Amino acid sequence: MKNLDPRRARWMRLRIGILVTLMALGASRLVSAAWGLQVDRHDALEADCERQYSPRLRLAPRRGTIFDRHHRPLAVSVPSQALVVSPRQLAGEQGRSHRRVDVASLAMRLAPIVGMTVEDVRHRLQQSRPVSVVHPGTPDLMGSVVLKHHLNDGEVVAVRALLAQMKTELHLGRLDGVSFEEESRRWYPAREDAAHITGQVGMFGDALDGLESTLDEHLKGRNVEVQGVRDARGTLVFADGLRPGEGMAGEDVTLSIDSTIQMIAARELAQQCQTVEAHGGSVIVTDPSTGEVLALANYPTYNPNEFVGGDLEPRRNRAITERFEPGSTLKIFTVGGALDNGVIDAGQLINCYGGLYSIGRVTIHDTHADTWLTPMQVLARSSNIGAAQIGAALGADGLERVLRRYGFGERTEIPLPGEARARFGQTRWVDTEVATVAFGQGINVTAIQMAQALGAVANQGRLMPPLLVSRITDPTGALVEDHPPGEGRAVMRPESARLLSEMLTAVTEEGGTGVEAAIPGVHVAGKTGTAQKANLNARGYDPDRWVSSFVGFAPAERPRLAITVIIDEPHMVHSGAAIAGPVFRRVMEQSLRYLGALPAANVGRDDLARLPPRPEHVLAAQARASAAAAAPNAVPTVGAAPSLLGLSVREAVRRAQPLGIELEVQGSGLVVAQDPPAGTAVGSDRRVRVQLEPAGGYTPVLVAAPASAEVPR
Amino acid sequence: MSATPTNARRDSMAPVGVAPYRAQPVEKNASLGRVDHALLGVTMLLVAFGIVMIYSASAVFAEHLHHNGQFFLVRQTMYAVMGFVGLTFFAVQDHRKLRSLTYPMLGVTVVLMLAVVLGAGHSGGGAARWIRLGPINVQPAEIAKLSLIVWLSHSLAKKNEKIRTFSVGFLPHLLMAGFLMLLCLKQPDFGSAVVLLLLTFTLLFVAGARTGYILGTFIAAMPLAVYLVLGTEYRRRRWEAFLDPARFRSTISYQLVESMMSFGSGGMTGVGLGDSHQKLFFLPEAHTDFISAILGEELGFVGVAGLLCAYAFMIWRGVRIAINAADDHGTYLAFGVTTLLTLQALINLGVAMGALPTKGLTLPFISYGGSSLIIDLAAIGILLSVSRSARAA
Repeated sequence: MKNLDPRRARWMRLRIGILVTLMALGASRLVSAAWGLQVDRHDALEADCERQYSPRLRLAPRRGTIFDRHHRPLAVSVPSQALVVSPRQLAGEQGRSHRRVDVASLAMRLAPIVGMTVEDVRHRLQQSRPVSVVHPGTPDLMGSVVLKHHLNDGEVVAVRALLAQMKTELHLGRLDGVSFEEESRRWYPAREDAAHITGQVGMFGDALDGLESTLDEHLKGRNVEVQGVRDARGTLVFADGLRPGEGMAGEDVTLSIDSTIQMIAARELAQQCQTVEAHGGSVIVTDPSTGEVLALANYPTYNPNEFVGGDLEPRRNRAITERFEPGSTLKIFTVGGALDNGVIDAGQLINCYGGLYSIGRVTIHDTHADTWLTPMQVLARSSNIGAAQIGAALGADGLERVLRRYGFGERTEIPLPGEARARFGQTRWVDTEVATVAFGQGINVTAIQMAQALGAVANQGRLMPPLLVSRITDPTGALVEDHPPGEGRAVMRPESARLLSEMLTAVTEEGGTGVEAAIPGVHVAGKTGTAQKANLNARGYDPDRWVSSFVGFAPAERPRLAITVIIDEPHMVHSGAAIAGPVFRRVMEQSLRYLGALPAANVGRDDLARLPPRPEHVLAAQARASAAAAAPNAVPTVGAAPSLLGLSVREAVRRAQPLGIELEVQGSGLVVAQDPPAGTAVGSDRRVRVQLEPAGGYTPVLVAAPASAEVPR
Repeated sequence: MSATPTNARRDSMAPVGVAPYRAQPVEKNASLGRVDHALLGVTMLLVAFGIVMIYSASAVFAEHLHHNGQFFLVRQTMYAVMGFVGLTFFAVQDHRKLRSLTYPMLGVTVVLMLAVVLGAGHSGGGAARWIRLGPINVQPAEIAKLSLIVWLSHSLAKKNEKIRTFSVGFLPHLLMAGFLMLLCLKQPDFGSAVVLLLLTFTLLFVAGARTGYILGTFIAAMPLAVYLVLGTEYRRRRWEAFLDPARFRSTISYQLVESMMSFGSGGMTGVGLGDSHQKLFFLPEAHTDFISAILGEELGFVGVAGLLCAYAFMIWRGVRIAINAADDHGTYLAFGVTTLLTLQALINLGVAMGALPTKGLTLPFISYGGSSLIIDLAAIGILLSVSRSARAA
């Protein structure tokens, strides 16, 4: 500008200066924008980037398997393929050829292959971002859509054929935008039968329920260790030699469940619930000696292999989440506690006031009008008044302590989600409450608590917490966690437990309330329960809604299985014996047979109904039974006293009775001395005195016994 | 503003009202070997750096598309060589000789632009902006920017004091720019049209056109601009996407959000040259308009600041050359070229960082693209030529 008039040149310089200032302002705006993005928002944006390319989101590790006690799978992951479509890539030019694929026509041709409607496919292809941000573990491909999860082999082949055809039609060397993503699908071989134990894994690999949920940390595997990078098309780059699932598989879980018994329990329960049109039901089968849960089934249930919609009712694990008033089954523990603490003894007579008894404003009824009953009869005839009397003898504190000792009022901590607490009220029970709680009203329990307490009676007084998960192993088979059966804790003396067991066998014998649960050839100890449900809208009980239950174990002498059956709101009849008793019998009988624990001669009523028994088997069984009866040491010679040492009262009575011998019982526990001794002649009055003593190693619970009750040593 | 006192004194002694073209005839060999070496140096540095960045950003994409990871590297190197030929062509001759090339350049530009608009163009990125000439694709809009600068410099220098009038000094320039802008908009290439308009205003302002005319035109053009943005479906959506990128995350603002994520993940010092993750198809065509995002990711804030410093240095040299130019034609040329490069760089970076709505403008010397690299190097050639004339004078 040296050729210009200096004034104009000065003006020009000034104007250039103004423009340069504007440029500098623009540049400084850029610097601040760069600072804002790269320094201030660095962490958030870096995380966004990482989410895009990190393999963590893509390579879902193989989920661990859930096995039953015999290594039969209950939940297993099988590889499957997802069809991934990227509309952006499809609509773009395909390689060098500058050809485009018409997305709409592709949708039309894909739809019938994958079994979707054309509208559906087009709709999915329009929403170009999958919902998977909130569901980690799914193919999260930028701008691409998972058109369908879990294609079957036929579909994969058909889609591949379609792509090949389109390539030739369009003269393309390659076709980008349609690909398969490896994923895995959860398969539950036991279907509905074990749904409440396994739970379910959703479409996106998220654990929804059951052990899948509580053991998710173990099952899902670790997926952060892998250094690999995915590009926007979902291809794994820079990580050659790495295969999905390798080295990061989840841990395997072995349960105490026996899937055969589980199946028996689930099916018998479902059948009965459907027959009696019940609202719901639960069955728990345990091995009382270890506390292992062999089966836990509920009705209604669902198929975890399918996606279940909004209906939550079938998902509920009633056995642990449902609180109910147990009714008469709780009498087991009232009587057990009273016996164990010596508040009553086996031979004591309890006044039942002829079936009608008032305490405070409450009147208690019995179905049978009895006046005086032994504790065994109280159980066998399920006398509410008798139980109330025994409860009164224990007193409010005594009864509460007894029930707490059996594990009521606390969670069992079985590793399934949502266990109800079923706590006792905060206030001390008053007399009427003591009376009703003693026979199972006004107290809430869960089925799993009942199963745990029942196990203690069957296991000679040792309470074993329920054991569901036996061990957890890593993919190489190394032990991660081991859960052997614990020591348990003594809640009653073994001989009290034994005595109680014997009393409970009377329930299923002639004259008891639970004859429907009896199994030929096996002594079944059990108790029926029929409880009205509390009225939802008013005080008191609803006359039409009942909870029917049967709890018991067998064989009574050496229990193999303890079973709790709860049926909620049956519609036809409601008595626990009629509704729950048959379920108990069928599950017990089939399970014992499966375990080989039934006497060979046993031919169950159900078997007679279902299968015509083969005559030669029946004859052989009868022959064996008579041979056993004729064995020399089975029945002592008439006139001589039998050996009663080491037996419980009930066993002693049973052995003495056929000989016409009457026993004079002193103390409680097991027979430690008898007079006259075994083998010697019995006197003319045919009486034998037996001295009983508790077995060692156990301190009874100290309860404040009412002054009126006699406390034996 | 750094005019040396000696220059200013010499200015004052120049005769008033002398036509510059006649007053300073071209002297042969007067200015050989006197180019601005610093400017040449920083240009070569930027081109070399650009080639490295293009290789880094495009290798995976090129491998996928052409089964040849060096595809874009080789091409850009080729363009760079061609660009330096162009640079030398302009740098070795006196810029005053360029005045005879003004109308041929403008004519070729208009013919190419018309060819593109009338359908001979080849589409790319949703718009027809390319025309295939032999082995290379030419983008006439890039040529138009340089042609407009050359023509404006010639015309403004010729009109001299009459620049202050409306009919002679202001309107013809606006009409010519408007015609070229219209051709750009037809392609459609909104970004280039904006650059053409800003170039015209800038040079008119520098030449001394009345500020009132410029502001008036600007205000009068506002409704038109609003109509152009909001009246066109894709431009309106781009505008909305600029205002709220998250809402159009997967569609229109996909590229923008990915670009911002790239910058962000770079942090202060970057993830390291070549280690970008975003170039793995997350950021589409990362080697062209959004190469700054890869640069920001791999080299971090330090890298971006370094690039801005390089541009700032270039602008400083350009402004210095403009002010020291022997005549006003040289000043207009130099400042026009400087403004062109500045606008391109500012708008490109602003778009990539989400500070401006999306425009398809390249980053000078760094982005992949034959037309823009060759034109930008030719522009630097003109600048160097002016720098020689300044020293010669």
